[in-house]
Amino acid sequence: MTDDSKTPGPAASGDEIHPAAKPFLWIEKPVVHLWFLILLAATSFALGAIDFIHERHEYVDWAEWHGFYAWFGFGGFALAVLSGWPLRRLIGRPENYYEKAAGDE
Amino acid sequence: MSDFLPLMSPAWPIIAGGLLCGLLPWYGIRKAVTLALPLIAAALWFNVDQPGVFGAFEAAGFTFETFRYDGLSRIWGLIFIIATLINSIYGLHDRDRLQDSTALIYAGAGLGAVFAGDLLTLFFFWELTAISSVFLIWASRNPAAFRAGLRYLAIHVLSGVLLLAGSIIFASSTGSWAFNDIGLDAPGGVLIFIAFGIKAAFPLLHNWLQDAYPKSTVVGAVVLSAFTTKLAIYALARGFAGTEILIWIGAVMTAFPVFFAVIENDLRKVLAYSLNNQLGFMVVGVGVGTELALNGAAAHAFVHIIYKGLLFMSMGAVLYRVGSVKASELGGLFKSMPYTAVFCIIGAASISAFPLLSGFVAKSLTLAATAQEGHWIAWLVLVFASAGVLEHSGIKIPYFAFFAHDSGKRVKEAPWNMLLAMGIAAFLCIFIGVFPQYLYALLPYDYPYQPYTFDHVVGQMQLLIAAMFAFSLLMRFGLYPAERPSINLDTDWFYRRLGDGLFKWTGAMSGRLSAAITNRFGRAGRTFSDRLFNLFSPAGALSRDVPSGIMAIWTSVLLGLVMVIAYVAG
Repeated sequence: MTDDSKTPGPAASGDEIHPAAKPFLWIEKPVVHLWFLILLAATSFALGAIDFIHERHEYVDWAEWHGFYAWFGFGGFALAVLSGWPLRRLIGRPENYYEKAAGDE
Repeated sequence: MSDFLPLMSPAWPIIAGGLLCGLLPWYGIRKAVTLALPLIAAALWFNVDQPGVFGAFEAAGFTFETFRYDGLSRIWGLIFIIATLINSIYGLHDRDRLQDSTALIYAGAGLGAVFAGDLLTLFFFWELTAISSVFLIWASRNPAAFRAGLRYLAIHVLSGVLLLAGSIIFASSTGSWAFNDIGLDAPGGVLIFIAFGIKAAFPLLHNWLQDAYPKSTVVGAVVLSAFTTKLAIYALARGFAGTEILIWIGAVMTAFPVFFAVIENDLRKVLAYSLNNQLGFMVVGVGVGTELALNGAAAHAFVHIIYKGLLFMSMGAVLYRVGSVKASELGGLFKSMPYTAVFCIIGAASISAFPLLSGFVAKSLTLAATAQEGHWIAWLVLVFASAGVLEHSGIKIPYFAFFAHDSGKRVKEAPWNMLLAMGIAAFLCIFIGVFPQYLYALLPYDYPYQPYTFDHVVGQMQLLIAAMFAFSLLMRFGLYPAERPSINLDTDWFYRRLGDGLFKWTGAMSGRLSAAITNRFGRAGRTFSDRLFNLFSPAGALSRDVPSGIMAIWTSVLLGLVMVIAYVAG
């Protein structure tokens, strides 16, 4: 009785790139990242601008403010990510933290 | 209804087949059984054409209802059967007989609990899910997994004990063992509520999930992600629908994992936190308790099992090929595993609730119901949590595994069976997103809802695209916390570090006490202290890991035996 799932590891050698991935290697270029950022910014503003020409109907009144979801999405995401800095200082520990105590992890 | 098929709970053939698999040494036959069983279970599920209670039998004065088929149980039953089939396909490459067997017994136990019509039947299957699933953690066969399994078993046995105690109090007061609406005010209701809460991973009771699931095997984590917690959501929906405190518990559940997941390096642990977050939405739905909200909880559970399974499968494939799912060691894997990357992205987009994918048509039911009932603070937390879902499951998982900086790791694509299982799950994510009416037809209540309104699509896209913009911006300016090889403290610190420290301190103090007794009272005292030492010292009978685990198992077994004796004697 063996467990294949316990015997992982690199199964191919060299710099082999899967044929299906080759047409998409351009996504790694820094300029693509920049354009992607610009595209996201433009789309965010465009979607937010829709609220100025179309009144959304919501169960919660202030969700009808112009660009509510866009601001909330941006702010909520930024809050979650930026809080990672102090949180890591507070609760981050070395990988062997429990191992030292009980031979665990 | 077919005359050829009995009206029998789909749990039984799966459990029986699981036991059989434990005896079958032949890999091919065993795998054929694992594939056939969910199909048989599906046939039994389809065989019922109207709600009712079937498969009831009497023993020692109790009526055990093993197959209650109604609006609530049928959707949970169906998704458990689908998950069992997908999991079986995903595990086809795996030759671990014990894992094949326990995965099926566990799935069958989950089904049995969902179809249970009374509290005793529920308790039996509740305990069986705990005992069978721990072997999926132990199947990793390393010390960390073994210890995590013990902790997992201990807390789940506690859940079972609370369920049994609460059920006995409830039944002795009301005269009924029926598993229907219970409520917190009912005698024993609080105990049952906590029992369900442990399995649902309520805040502060949640850490067994992050502790155990990431230490399970590649296949084990996928299987585990499907049943236990969703069974708990079902039990809450059945017994505590409309319990207002669930709204606040659920809201906290959706929000707090977002912060933990940002700095978590182990991507399977990120998914475990993500599980907490998603369960929170369902718990809120149960707490709101209206027809729309309960439909939301059921729909969310259904689609969640598929896309969370898909995400666990994709990370399992990475673990299988690369040997690690630590974000700090990954990156650029789309070059080696492009199909896995695409499936992962579909799962990530589904859980983030992009339009045309399953999360969009399910999550919105709960949000709409919460807002409709005027719970605007909870609604606001859910909207924040929706942005958080995008952070940890929508972006972090695919980005750090398949893109980000190229780790230089070049591996084979996932095995064909893993790709097939991921492909089926990805297809279902898209199919349900495009044709939500098929999902809605399965929901417990006939409540009209239209997910694809202009306002809903625009609002959701505003949220998601702006959040993605925030991610790109934070990455560009180096404000996203870098992935580091580290762990994060959570509530498990209390029993893994504080508890351990207290235990050692107690050991040291008892040593001193023993010495003092020996000096003072001579031989009699020495004998007494020797006995104490043999029992309580770090090398003593109550302190060894293996006996502790065996004790936990025996506790479960004895619980079952006590029940059987009680029935016979009664």
